[in-house]
Formats: sequence, structure tokens, C-alpha cells
Amino acid sequence: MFEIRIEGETVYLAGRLDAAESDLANAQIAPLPGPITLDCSRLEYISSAGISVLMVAYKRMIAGGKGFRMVNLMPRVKNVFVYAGLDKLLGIE
Amino acid sequence: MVRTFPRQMASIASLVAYVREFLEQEGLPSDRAFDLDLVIEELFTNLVRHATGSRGDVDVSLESTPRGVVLTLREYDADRYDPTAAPEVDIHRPIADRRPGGLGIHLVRQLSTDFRYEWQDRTGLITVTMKEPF
Repeated sequence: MFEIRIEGETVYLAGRLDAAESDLANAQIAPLPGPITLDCSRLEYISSAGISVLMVAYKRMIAGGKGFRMVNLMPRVKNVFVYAGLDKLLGIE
Repeated sequence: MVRTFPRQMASIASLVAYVREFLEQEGLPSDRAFDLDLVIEELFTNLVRHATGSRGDVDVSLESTPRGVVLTLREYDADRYDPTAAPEVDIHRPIADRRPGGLGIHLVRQLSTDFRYEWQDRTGLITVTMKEPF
């Protein structure tokens, strides 16, 4: 179960962002003009498919001179970014 | 504990349920689920995306052993596709040079102590021994 909700510049992610849900996430995030703050306080799981969506969004924001932040990650979700070598990147706070 | 899953992204939800059933049956803590979910998803979705021969179902097994939890994925009538041969991802490159491709197998390597592939008589077998939690 994955949910995404957008309020202004904040994108709220909840549940499991896996390969079955990454197209939905991308469809919601790709049109956003930015800047983007991703609130991950209710994001329980992410795989490489989900990370790919966020990497694409991050690069698009940076290329356009816009900000991209990820906040309130659960430790186990943040660990995936550590394993991926992306914890110091992608604007993770 | 072997279970057969249709080779499609929609099987991920069933794989998640299967992991929980396995942990409960083996009396293992539920916080082991995250890493197992991740490794199974990365390998299973690779088989969905990269299947060049078989489009058939995939047999997935989980077993608790003294070396740790051992996961296998078996496909039949399959062309050879060796995920263990995927090049290493350089995680120290700047973000501008990073590409998402290969990240899934990188995560599998990070979370396992043994990762191997066998292919014989058009049957492909991936075997992963999971790292034990600290």
C-alpha cells in the first residue's frame, strides 16, 4: 500500500514505495515545478525502483536551480540510502 | 518453504505476505522483513524486467539455516541471465554521474554474505544467504 499526497511544495509519502508503485510516484512527482520537500515520516519501505524516481526528481530540481529536500526518514528507510551511497546526497536531512 | 509466483510486478504484494508467513513460521523477529523484502524485490523484479527466454512463473524459497536465512529464486526454460555478473556500482561518484541502473544488485550485495547464480538445463537458480542482523 502506497500513498502520495501533495500540498504546495511538500510531497507526503506513506507506505511502501516499491517497483509496483514507482510509476504512480513518478507520475505524481514528475510534473511538479519545485522546489520539493519530501516528507517521509510515514514512508515504511523503499527499494531501488523508488530511489530511482527520487534520483530523477532530484536531478531535475538541481538542473532547474530548485531545491530538493527529504525529511523525517525512518531509520530503516534511511539505511537503504546509506547502502546505496546516497545518504549524503539527495538533500536528506 | 517454496512458493510459486507469476512473473509480474503485481506479485510483489504476495511476496511481502510470503516473507511475513515465513518469519512467523520460523519464529524469527518481524524486523527481519525489511531486508528480506528488499532483496527479494530487487531479484524478482530483475527477472520480470530482464527475462529474455522464459515468461513463466518463478519459484521462490526461504529457509532458515545456521548460516542465516537462505533465499532462492528458480526460473525454468530460461535463457542465461546472471545477476551476480552485474558490474559494481561506484557509490562514490558525484550524483550527476550516478545512474539508477544496477542499484538493486548493489543493495543485494550489501545485504548478503553469499550471492550466486547457476544455470543448467535452461533452469536458472539464484541463491542468496542473507547477512545476519547486528
